Amino acid sequence: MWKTILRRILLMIPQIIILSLLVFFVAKLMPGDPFSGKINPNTDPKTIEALKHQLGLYDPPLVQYGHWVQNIFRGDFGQSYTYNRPVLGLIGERAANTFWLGLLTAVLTYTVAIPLGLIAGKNEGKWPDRVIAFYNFVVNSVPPFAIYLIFLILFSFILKIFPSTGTVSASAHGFVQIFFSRIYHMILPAIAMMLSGTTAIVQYLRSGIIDNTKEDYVRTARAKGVPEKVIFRKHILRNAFLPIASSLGGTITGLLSGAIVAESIFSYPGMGQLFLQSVNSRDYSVMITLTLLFGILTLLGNLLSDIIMSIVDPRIRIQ
Amino acid sequence: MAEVEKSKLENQKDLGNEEVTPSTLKTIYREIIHDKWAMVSLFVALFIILFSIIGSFFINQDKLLTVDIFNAWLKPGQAGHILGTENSGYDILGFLIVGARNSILMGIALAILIESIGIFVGFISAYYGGIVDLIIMRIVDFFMIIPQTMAVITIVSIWKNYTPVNLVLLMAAMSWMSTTRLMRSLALSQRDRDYVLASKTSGTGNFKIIFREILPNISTFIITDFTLTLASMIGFEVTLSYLGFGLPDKVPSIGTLIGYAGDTNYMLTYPWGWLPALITLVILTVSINFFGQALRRAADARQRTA
Amino acid sequence: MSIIEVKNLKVWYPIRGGFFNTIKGYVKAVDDVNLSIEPGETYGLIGESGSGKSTIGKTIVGIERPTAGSIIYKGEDVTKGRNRKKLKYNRDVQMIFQDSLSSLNPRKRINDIIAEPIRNFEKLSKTEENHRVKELLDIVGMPKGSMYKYPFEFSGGQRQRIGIARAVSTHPKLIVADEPVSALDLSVQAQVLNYMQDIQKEFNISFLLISHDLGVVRHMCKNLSIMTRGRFVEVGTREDIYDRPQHIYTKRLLAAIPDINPRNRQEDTKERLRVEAEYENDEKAWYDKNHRVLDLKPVSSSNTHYAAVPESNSMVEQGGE
Repeated sequence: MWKTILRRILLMIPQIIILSLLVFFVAKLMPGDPFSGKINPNTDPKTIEALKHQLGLYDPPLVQYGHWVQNIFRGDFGQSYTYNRPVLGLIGERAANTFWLGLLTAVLTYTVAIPLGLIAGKNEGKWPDRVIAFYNFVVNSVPPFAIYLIFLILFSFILKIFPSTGTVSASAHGFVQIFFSRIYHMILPAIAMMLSGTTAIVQYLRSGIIDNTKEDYVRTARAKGVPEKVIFRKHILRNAFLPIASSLGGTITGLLSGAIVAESIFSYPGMGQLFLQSVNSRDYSVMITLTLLFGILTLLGNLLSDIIMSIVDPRIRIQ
Repeated sequence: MAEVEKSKLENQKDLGNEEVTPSTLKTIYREIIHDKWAMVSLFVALFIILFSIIGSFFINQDKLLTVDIFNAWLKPGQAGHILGTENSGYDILGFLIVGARNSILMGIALAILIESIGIFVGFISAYYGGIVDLIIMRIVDFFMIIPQTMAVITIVSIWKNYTPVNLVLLMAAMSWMSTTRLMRSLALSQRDRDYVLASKTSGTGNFKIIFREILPNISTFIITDFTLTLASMIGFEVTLSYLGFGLPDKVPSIGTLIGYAGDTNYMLTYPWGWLPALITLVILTVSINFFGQALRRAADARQRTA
Repeated sequence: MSIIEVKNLKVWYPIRGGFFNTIKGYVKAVDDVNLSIEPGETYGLIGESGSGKSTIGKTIVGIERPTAGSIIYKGEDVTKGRNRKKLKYNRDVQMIFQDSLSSLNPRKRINDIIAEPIRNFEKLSKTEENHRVKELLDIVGMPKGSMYKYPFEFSGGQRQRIGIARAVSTHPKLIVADEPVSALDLSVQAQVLNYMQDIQKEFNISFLLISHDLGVVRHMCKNLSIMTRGRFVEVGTREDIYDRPQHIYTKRLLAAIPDINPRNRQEDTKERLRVEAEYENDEKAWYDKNHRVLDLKPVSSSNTHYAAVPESNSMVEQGGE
């Protein structure tokens, strides 16, 4: 198992290197330079040139890439042009918001999806299964951004049940109040994002249960007189949960890609919203850092899937 | 004599049979035609697609996109604007028809491109195996970690004067991976069947085997994946246009209209700006998806009995 | 003068493993095998499943790559793709598969299936081609109307006959028949085998008949080999092997053939148990340390009979090492 995990980690290294190279050269294509807006426009062009030389802007691209990577390892991702502060701190704040929203969404996703999957699988073809299939179909067919938008308009603006923006209300004081105010602000985007996360899990669990019920080892167990409850728990459920366990990594990836659109629609100040703001204000250093970060987080999500899979699946574990 | 007669008779019977010999596609066609809801969804999807494409021929785009701020936000029905006008005074019905056509054409172009890439790359990967497969799958793995939406937005934001064609290529470059994986696994399931080996010993070339022998055996899956990809790519383009990073400014998209819902100034005051577009989008993607899933069910059932 | 000669053929598959996915060892599907087939004869290759007999067949027709060794046809080594192309090798060497359904493309009509090799190797007009297909169908006893049908419309025996028609469509010199009848009912087996013998006589075709069915091989072949674990254990004529088996593995295999006569049942059972006991006691002496089959040695003066016998055939060491 450790070998499998270690090999996966080693395979990640070239992927990260190529990703960072791509990101770096896309960044090089972006207009402007580190001085844009920061330097007195009346500065002597020669001084600027000298500064550029000093900063290594005329070095060969690969040397520049080397400097960039060095800076990243020192935690220096450059300055945000709009906020006029280091990118790292800016993203850090937003990342915390995205993390909490993601966590809430993930918890909701599994608490909703697992019962739905169980019900659908146990009642194959009956009406609960059909209702759940219909839910799955609708959620899968409507583009996620339309779902977010409909939720926002319906629940925040027409029914006015949930706030439409922000993370915490200004009037909240003390830990308990702030805690609940935060959840209150997150719950609508979390539910909206949860919907699209559930479909795959429901689908896997349902077909896992149905397929395993038809396996010979289940029939054998039944023939031996094993009680139905034990059969379901030990022989069916355990196998049906294998793909669910590994879908956790996919959930992370889905949350990340959902965050860009969801956070901008719900005006939630996370990394996704920051990304779109930085694109609109041409805040390149923030854009670049976020793109790199999302790529690496996706990789980590995949790695997590593989690790979980290698822990729960004996076929991989023993090899 | 009798012998000849008999074989003649048999021949004729067989020729008559030729028409009704069930091929996979025909079986699926027969199953789909009896699926009432699948036919309804197909009809709805085709209606929207054809209405927007044909309707756009009767719309003068230059006139449609003439800014007329005096007629901004006319209510539906006012001054001959059936669905009213929007912020720049554009007729919403006309804008919606042209926008729907553009979004649909983008989706079709993307689906065709993605399926072609998927079939070509996936089949090569599966058929040749070994090192070729390894390299292709590593490339697929790599593209899978690139955040799709972010990458398109980043590149579009620094790409001056990009055209819809550029956008199609860019979006396809970020979306070809899952179809490629599907095609690879389908081709793998066929590769080691004896009929492929029989073609090899019959001296048939590799490319001919891939595209003439293997391809027809999985054509139903390709059609199914095409419809599902079409729906998801329409959604992708509309999302990008909604965010302002999709089709270029002068090219309307459904997403441009839905964008008015994202602005709290317009959302509740002028619902006719975004509601028709949102409804059109939802009906379109739902009906395409429904038809695609019905196709998949039919194809799977066929696969089980085969 | 033999039509094809297989020399020191080895087909090894690497086993990868460990951290860097390096080669840890090999599965020796075929390990140093020689055989030659005469024009017009049916050569039998017998072995249990996994013994490597199908791999030999696939290597001969060129869909499996050998690790070492050569296959000589018309004086050229046809393990090289270039030589195969130059000789139009697959026009002369064709194959019949075990699974008649999966060997026929389900999406093609019978005439397209049978005409495929013709289209690749000969330039015929549409009518000439149609004529040839009808002729071929006639040879294997199928009605002409089958041309426009799809494979799934036929029974297993009919499909196998279609497979034979495809194999003979380019008038080959050699057909590798990989378990051609083992998926068929007994009554249909004889029919298909008879068609094979008919076309053999008509076109002077050689067969390499791969089978695990000792009866079928005895019926069809003059010369045969017994194979296990990727190696030949015994080579000889039909009489050599069925009447005077030398190798312990061959003896065990032959003892397993059931006899139709129920009167001999008890004796047969006794004989079977005796062979089985001998096999279990002496097994080690007949294989080397790595469980590899020993090299073949001549075991009679007839010059046709070879077996992988130990140095001192009569004396068997107990316990080994």
